[in-house]
Amino acid sequence: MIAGLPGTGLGGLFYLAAALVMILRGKNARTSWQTLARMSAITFGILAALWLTYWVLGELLARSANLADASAILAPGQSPGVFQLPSIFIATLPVQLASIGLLLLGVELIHLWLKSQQGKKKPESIVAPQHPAVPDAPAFAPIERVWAPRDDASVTRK
Amino acid sequence: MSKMLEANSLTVIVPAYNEQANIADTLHSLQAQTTPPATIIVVDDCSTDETGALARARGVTVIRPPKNTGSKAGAQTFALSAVRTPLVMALDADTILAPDAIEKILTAFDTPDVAAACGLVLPRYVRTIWERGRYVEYLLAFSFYKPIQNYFEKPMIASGCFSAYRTDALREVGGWSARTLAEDMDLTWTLYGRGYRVRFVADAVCYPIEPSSLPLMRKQLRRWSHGFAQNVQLHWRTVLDVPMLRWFVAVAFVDATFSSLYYLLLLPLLAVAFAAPLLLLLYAIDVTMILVPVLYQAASRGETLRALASVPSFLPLRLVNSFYFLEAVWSELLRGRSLRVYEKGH
Repeated sequence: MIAGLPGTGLGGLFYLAAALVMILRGKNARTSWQTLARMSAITFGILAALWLTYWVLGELLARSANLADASAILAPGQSPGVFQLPSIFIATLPVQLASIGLLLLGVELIHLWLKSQQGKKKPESIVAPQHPAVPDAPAFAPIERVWAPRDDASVTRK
Repeated sequence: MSKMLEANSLTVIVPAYNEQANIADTLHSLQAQTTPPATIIVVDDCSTDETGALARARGVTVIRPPKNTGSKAGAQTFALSAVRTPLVMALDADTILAPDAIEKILTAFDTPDVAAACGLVLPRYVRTIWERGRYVEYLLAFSFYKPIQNYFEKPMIASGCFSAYRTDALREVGGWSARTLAEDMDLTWTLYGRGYRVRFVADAVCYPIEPSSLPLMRKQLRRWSHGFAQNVQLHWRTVLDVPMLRWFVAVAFVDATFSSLYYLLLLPLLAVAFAAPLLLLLYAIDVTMILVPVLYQAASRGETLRALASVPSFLPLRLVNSFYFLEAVWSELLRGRSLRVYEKGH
């Protein structure tokens, strides 16, 4: 199981965008119409929830005098007290989208750079292997086998 | 693939160490499948309790390595040489299956290049705060993230608790490796590197026992977080060569890192700096968005109230997860100190 954080930071926005692409592209061999319909309902539900959240957040910020400075940072040009939903949304969404864009661009650039480096190497054989070799393990020490004391009847490994 | 062929084509490996409390339920769920497997092999990893005897009493094959293999990967790979069927499944000894789980998961192997398939995971018990948090996490991940990964043909990981594999492909890569603490992620990424496909089957459902207390959750999160970091370190070149997978992994890694910093450092600092406790509400800013996929999945299972009652538990679980993820990144990638201790505890 993944050790990440299923939340709605960059990852959440990335998956929201991916879901929209999925909906626009339509059914494929691995995804039925039912799955697509379910994903559409969830995706548009999340978008509605996003809108609601920003609206509530805007209301809360507008009522908090201590947050005047914060609101000025988040939405330059807007005076405190009129800190409305679109201000926060418009202020933060491009930043998040740009962050995702930069991240994906960075990944692609590293990939291209690695490919170019591999291209410079002289091939050792004229017969290409069918599959790339399994990468060697880094210099990890062997795993130490330690079973924890059974402090629970349901202790197990997963 | 006909149903009869499917029934004869699958061996299930159940690695078990001191699992006398759970092994009978697991084997019963296997034997009661609509498509029962041809063979069930329990690897009694030198248990000191009655695990082996209980398994034998259920009429399954029980094998015992000469000495404790020390990890799930080791036990599973030990059994791989005894597999005679084209497909093999790994099932945790504390995990039970929905009655049609095997029938459903086998539908994924419709082309020869599909080497692995995984199903939907949901906690068997939803009682403590940690089990409830995990319940919400799974509902979210398996109803929203995983179907998207599957659509783009790159499920990020075939879950170790319940996944099926093509035996030849598994042997080709040497079985489950114990070189990292997340053998399932290691195997999934290795298979992608070899050009194989991996599928997610949402209808194939399994129910593992999740950590019920903080000490148990800590062990599991440490293993998962360090395993993730180890696999990124081990496979980054391979992952970069696989379209979409490189995006999924990069987003997961960066999001987990920066979200953790946001939760544990930035948010408390901002609240103090602006003397605005209201800012702490941002810890729960995404609750409404999380609710949508969670309630959708829960409603389809008739578990709406259980999901609603469990959502608050997701927030402390996420904070704990943040801590251990940062600790793993710091330790594995920045300090170069790799966790090599496989602590049992889910």
